[in-house]
Amino acid sequence: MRFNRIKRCVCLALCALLLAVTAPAVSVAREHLRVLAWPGYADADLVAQFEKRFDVAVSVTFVNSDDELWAKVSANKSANYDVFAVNTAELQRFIDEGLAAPINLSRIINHASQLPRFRALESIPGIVRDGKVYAVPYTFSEMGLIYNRKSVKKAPDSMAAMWLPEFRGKVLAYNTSNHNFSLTGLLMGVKRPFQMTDTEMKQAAKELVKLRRNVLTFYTSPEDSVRLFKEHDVALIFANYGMQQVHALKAAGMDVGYVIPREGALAWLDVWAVTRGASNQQLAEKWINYTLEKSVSQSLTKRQGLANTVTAFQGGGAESRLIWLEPLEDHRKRRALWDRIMSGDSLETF
Amino acid sequence: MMRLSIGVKLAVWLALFAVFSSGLTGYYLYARSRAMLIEAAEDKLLTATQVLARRFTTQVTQISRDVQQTASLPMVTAIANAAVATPYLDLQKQQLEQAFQAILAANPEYFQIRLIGAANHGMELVRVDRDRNGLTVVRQSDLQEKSHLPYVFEALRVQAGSFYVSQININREQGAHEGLNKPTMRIATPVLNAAGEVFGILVINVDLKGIFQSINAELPNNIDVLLTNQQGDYLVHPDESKTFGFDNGRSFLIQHDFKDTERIFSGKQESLVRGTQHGDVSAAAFVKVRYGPQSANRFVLLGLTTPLESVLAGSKVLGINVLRMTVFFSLVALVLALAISRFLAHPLRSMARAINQFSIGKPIIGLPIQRTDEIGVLAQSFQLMASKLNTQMDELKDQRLHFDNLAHQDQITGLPNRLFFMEQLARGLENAQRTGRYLAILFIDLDRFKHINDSLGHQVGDEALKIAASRLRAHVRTQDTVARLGGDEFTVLLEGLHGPAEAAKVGRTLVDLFADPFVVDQHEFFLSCSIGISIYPENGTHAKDLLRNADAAMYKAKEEGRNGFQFYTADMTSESFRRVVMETDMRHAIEQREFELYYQPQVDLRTMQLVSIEALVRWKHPDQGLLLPAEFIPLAEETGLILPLGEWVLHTACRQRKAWHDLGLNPGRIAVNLSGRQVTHTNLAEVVQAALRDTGCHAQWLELELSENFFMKEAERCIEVLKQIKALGIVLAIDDFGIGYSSLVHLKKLPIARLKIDRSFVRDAAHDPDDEAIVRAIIALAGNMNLKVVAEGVETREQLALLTKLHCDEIQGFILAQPIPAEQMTQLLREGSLPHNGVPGEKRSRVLKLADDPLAERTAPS
Repeated sequence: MRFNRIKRCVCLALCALLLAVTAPAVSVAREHLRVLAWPGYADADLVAQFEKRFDVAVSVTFVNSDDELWAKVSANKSANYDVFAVNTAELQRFIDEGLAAPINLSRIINHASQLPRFRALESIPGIVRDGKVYAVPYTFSEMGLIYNRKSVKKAPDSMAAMWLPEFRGKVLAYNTSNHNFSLTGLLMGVKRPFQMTDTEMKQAAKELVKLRRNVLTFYTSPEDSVRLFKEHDVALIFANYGMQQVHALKAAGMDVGYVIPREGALAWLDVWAVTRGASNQQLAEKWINYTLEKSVSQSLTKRQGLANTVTAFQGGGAESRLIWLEPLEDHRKRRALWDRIMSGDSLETF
Repeated sequence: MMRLSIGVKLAVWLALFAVFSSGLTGYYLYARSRAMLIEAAEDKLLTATQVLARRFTTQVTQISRDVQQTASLPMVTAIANAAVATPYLDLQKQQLEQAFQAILAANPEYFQIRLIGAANHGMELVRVDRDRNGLTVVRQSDLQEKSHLPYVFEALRVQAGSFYVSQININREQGAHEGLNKPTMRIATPVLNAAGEVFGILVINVDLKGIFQSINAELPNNIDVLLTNQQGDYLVHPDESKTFGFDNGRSFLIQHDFKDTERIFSGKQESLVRGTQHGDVSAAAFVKVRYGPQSANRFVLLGLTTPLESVLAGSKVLGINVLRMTVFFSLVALVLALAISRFLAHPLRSMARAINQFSIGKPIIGLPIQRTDEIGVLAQSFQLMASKLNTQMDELKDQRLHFDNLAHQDQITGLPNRLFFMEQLARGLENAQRTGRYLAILFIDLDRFKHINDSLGHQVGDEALKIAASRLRAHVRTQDTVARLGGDEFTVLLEGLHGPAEAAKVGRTLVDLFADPFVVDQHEFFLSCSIGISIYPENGTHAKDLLRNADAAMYKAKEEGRNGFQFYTADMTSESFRRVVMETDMRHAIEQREFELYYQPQVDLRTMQLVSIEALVRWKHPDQGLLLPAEFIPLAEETGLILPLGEWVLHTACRQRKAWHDLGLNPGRIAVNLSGRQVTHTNLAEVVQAALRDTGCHAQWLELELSENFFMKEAERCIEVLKQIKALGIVLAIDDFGIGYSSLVHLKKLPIARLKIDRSFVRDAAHDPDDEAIVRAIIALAGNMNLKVVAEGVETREQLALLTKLHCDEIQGFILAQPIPAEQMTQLLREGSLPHNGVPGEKRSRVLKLADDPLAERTAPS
């Protein structure tokens, strides 16, 4: 009697083992989509919904930096992933290297219901090349100016406020070479803030030294900014992380305001692109189309505080002042200058 | 299939058990020791981590002390208090530079020492770097503004006398210093001027690697150090690409690798062991290390990991040893099991073989009886059983032989018995037939042997038989057969004779043999023998005939005066044979209940009343039919059989009388005849008393009759006995009176009540005047002697009339009733058809009619 029970248990265990071993093999039989994205772009529940609807299997890999993204996509001639999320500026590298494939927009029917600005793909730098569409906008974030509503009575309307002596030692700028130069260029009124000349760059460096002398410090992460805001008398923060950062400060109980400066705000736009090595381009396009569904896009805003391309931008009209990031003239040059600035080199040395 | 018996099964099970148990024990030992090793390793690791952590905090404290001491150098104070640039200030700076150099030289883990002013955007005032070539004093023109850096603006806010410890990060501050792009910790303290204002800070950049190189120098190679900041970002990791991920825009958090460390970051625990995630192959220990001023609440997480492989190297060795031991013990167990099975099975097999080969009559060999265990006991039992079997078989053989002998041998004399003799005789006859020779049977009977037996006892008799046997055996030829047929009868078979004369010669020899006296137990006596001889083929050709004829001849020899021999002659056969048979048959007759009593009434002649009934014995012979007493009583008296027979008659008659009484019938007395031998050879009074007692018959119901013939011979002896009888109250009568020669003297002495006139007188009295005279005389005599007279054998009306005329008292005879069995007599008594009722009439006529039966009747032996 007891022996039989043991036998049955062993049988069950063997069956379970067999199932476990063969399960991946079964899923191989289904279509498989490999997604490479940033955290929050492909939440598990949304992925599961997609898998169920199309009877496919999806594996999602998250990246934490542009470099990591580049490393993963460029490996194995982009054959390891089918679709990936990237900002428009970074996208150019992938197109240059032939790692991104043109997209058949006709299969992305939800594109039609995106906001007008995102339907006009030609107007967005870096998406269309040689008449071919390489990406579909998914989310974006502008870099506005946060101000302390307690200490700053009048909301600033320009980034120039960070240089004002009245805010000396009360400004938090972001420790980054790219945007700081572009931003300064923009204030300087240069034509192409992403493609500055050496002279413009030198001038901008001097302006940045001045900014350095006016700031409390250069923060490195949203959490860092929140901590500094709490510990020091901070009036202005360059919002490198946009609305996400505003939400973080507000969540920490800070009374802050947020403005898109009149000279315009730099903004990154993340798009979906399909790899050249994709094993199933149509499924990748289905995925893109799926993320543009209103419910999916809105959950991105709700959960991550990131703007989507389907529902109206909450800045209310400021949408037009967004300046999409573009590839830089020479980010190494900017980096070298920025390192010197951060190291404390004096104004006279530039 | 037999081979797979006890032994193999036992071996298999024992081996299985042993392998299983030693395997299980081994596995338990292995698993337990492995767990203990891991635990011990973790404990060791935790201790090591804690030691390391203490060294780290000690180091930080040491550095902060250096910082504070340096900050309190007089040059620093001088610089802090200098209002404007002066040569003295320059000197002070130079001296401070020298001091910085000395400190850097003494502390290789220091990258940089600086005095930074709070003014001019945190402009460095004195700075000495360690670079690739040694120590470099940074020129005035290369000094930088540092106020935007946390270690500056935060250290400036620290209380005087206290110190500041920065977060550990990659130093990106450019310059020729060696600390560029390296993990750096900055420890600073504010410097005040004389006015107590914060003038600036004194800061030492410390090489994190340098610190760890000094504190973990003793760690074995297989232990890795992990260090993270407060967020869990790796600062120290064997894989350098994982360190300072936050600085590169990628984060590698220890929480991802060791989930349990969350508990330390969340403040739930200060230290932790293991923390290995599923599938990891390392042991680990983590300690939260606080450093710097408490207010800053700075900590790092220090961890040590070591591959389980190294931890378990010992357990692997142990495992292998356990495995070896398990295998070894299993093998030992297997060998033992085989040995035990062989130890058990071998003797069992040899036992089975021994039993298979055992045959009755031979000893059983090959049993393992020398063993002392149960098998030995079993073997001994088998051996015992076998020997018992053999013994019993021997006994059986002996018994068979014995029975064989018994069948053919006489137990007393050891001579061949009748059976054997008859076989020999049959064989001898065949030989004689074939050879044409004569064959003789000598039938030998010892004379008066019975007397020896009766007077000296059976034992002496048996001894006499043995002596007789040995004498016979000793005087015949070896080929002749001497046998004992039974009792005192022997036979000798003589074969191969040329004529009867040879038999006669032997007969004579044998008769002479018995001339010598027999001596047994101090008794000396003489025994002669009588021999009858029959010759083949003259006296018969069949064994049975020859033997019978020899027997008959033997009787003849006895009649001829004994102590001699007689050849058989044809005239001997009828009488002799009849006697032999009769005697034998009579012996059986009593046992076989072949005797029966018939009853005949006696009536009073005047009243015709029944006065008594005479019991008359009959022998219902199986071959010869109903025999009357005259045909067997003489032989019975001659052989002595009359004694048991007489006793039986007495008992039976008494019992019947009692039965009639019990039925309410009254036939008067019951009359029983006595033999003379009964009077002389027994204590008659006792016998009679016993009979009365045994049967419940009253003495007055009994009448005993004695023949005149015997009475006349033994008158004197009789008188005493009869007096005793009479004293019992029993009526006595003289039977067959008139034919003897009774002495009137004796007659007078006898205590008798009745005379029975012999039937011969009654028969002829009616016709023969002499007889009538005799009857008349007897009746007169009796009347004078006051005796009743009974007439026997009354058959006719004439006789009856005569007897009536002569005043005879009572009559008995066919005219009344013939003798009838008890049942019929009972029936007559019930019906009352006997004259005792006093109403003869019709019924008497029937009785008289019965009396017409012409059969003669004798009522007593003569």
